[in-house]
Amino acid sequence: MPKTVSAVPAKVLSKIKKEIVSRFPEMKGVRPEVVKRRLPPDADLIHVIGKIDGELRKSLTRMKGVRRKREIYCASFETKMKASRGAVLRRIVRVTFDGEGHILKLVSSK
Amino acid sequence: MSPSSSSGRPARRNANRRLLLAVSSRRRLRQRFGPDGLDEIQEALGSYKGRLAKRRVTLEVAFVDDASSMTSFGLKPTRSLTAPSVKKSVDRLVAKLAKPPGTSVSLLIIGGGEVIPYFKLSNPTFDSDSFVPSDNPYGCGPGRVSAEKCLLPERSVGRMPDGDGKSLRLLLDQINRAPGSARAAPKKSPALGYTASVWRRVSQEVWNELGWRGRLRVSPPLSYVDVKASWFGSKRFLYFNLHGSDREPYWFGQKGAKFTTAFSPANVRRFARPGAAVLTEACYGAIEMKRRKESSIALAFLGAGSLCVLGSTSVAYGALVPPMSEADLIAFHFFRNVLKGLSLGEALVSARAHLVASALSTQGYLDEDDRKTLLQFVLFGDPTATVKRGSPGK
Repeated sequence: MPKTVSAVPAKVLSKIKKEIVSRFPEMKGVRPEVVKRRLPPDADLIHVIGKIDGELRKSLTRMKGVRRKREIYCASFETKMKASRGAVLRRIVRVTFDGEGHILKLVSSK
Repeated sequence: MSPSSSSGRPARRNANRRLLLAVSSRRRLRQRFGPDGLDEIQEALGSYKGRLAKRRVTLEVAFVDDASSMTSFGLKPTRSLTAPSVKKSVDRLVAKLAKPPGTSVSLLIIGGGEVIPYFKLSNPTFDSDSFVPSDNPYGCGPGRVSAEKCLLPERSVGRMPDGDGKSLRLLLDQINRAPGSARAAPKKSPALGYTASVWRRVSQEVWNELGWRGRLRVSPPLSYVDVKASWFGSKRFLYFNLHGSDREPYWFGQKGAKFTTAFSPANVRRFARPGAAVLTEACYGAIEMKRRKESSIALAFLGAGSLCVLGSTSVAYGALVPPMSEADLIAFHFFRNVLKGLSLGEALVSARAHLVASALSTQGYLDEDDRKTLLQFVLFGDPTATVKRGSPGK
């Protein structure tokens, strides 16, 4: 498992943790895994999309590369929750944020 | 938006020759079901060949580990039944079969992961899944076997799983009930939607964008004891946005920190009708190995005669609130494509492409969650099957 990336300013991480706990109280006390987003080039994908759907490729060619320069991090909060009938479910919340602590994306496990 | 052709260019839906390549392992089917069971499977496939011909789809059956079967294609059998070795056989078969110009080849895997293994792809997200079971590489060109190379398969792939291998009937039912012609969708309320309360808004967005009428079922307050036959009726599209688990046979609703058992395999066995296209966003919604109809909702649907089940093999992700992301986008685009008249396999191929397009246009890049979503959804059912147009969708 990836270790917490020290490059994230402590203040920013603290802000993100607060935000997550306020939205998901069950994540209180959970130590998130934080990684810098690895963003491999998407050019190959756009090429494959061209094989599947030419129109889609055309629209993407204009967009690729936008906003790729920012430092982007992902914090993953994982805990276990009890459901009815004694079942135990994994609950994962993943938040993508930039170096200033702006939340860019928030998803949860299904 | 269709399988690759011999030329490497996209095969069009009006390709001159549509071919369904069914692959399996004669040795493993015999081990699981005995010689008589194997005979029954081959007989069922023979009968299916005749039904597919009515749809102008040619069925070719290949047992990749059997010399007589592979020799008939001018090929040698594979000695080992690892995913990469099976893929090599599939690639060679496709290269042979797709030679005539205008031929599009789709792939149907006969058997679950213990017959023809899933690829174990590296997990892009570093969550608790050690790997992502996937059929994506089987839909990609030769040499593409890594997670990074297999995000977008061009070939339609489906699978008919056999669960724990103790029920020949489950596999035979899937082959025997696979449609020879397109199933018609009713014009009024063609769909059932069942969502966890926590994802109600985003599920509603999927529902509304598809132009479906009626109300979504929401859990909680609803639970598995509230499920009724009337929910299913003659509905052709079943959309589930509930929690799933690799240890539990149920799917769950959620509101705040409260999790409710929302849906069970018994609900399916009791109420589901044949012919529906089922999609679940649940984590492990498509888990099938070492499972039975009684312990897997996906297998229960297939046993009940569903046209297909599309689900995830691992922990899946989606948006908490609109706009849709990851699994929500797969759900939306898959159903939209099926409503447009694409085959089930083509609908999934195209849905993945639209997920990439959406991520690139909104984020500017494809992140790890997006990548995992592209790898984890597997289609159970004949990838060439279609649902007739005429339902109210965009």
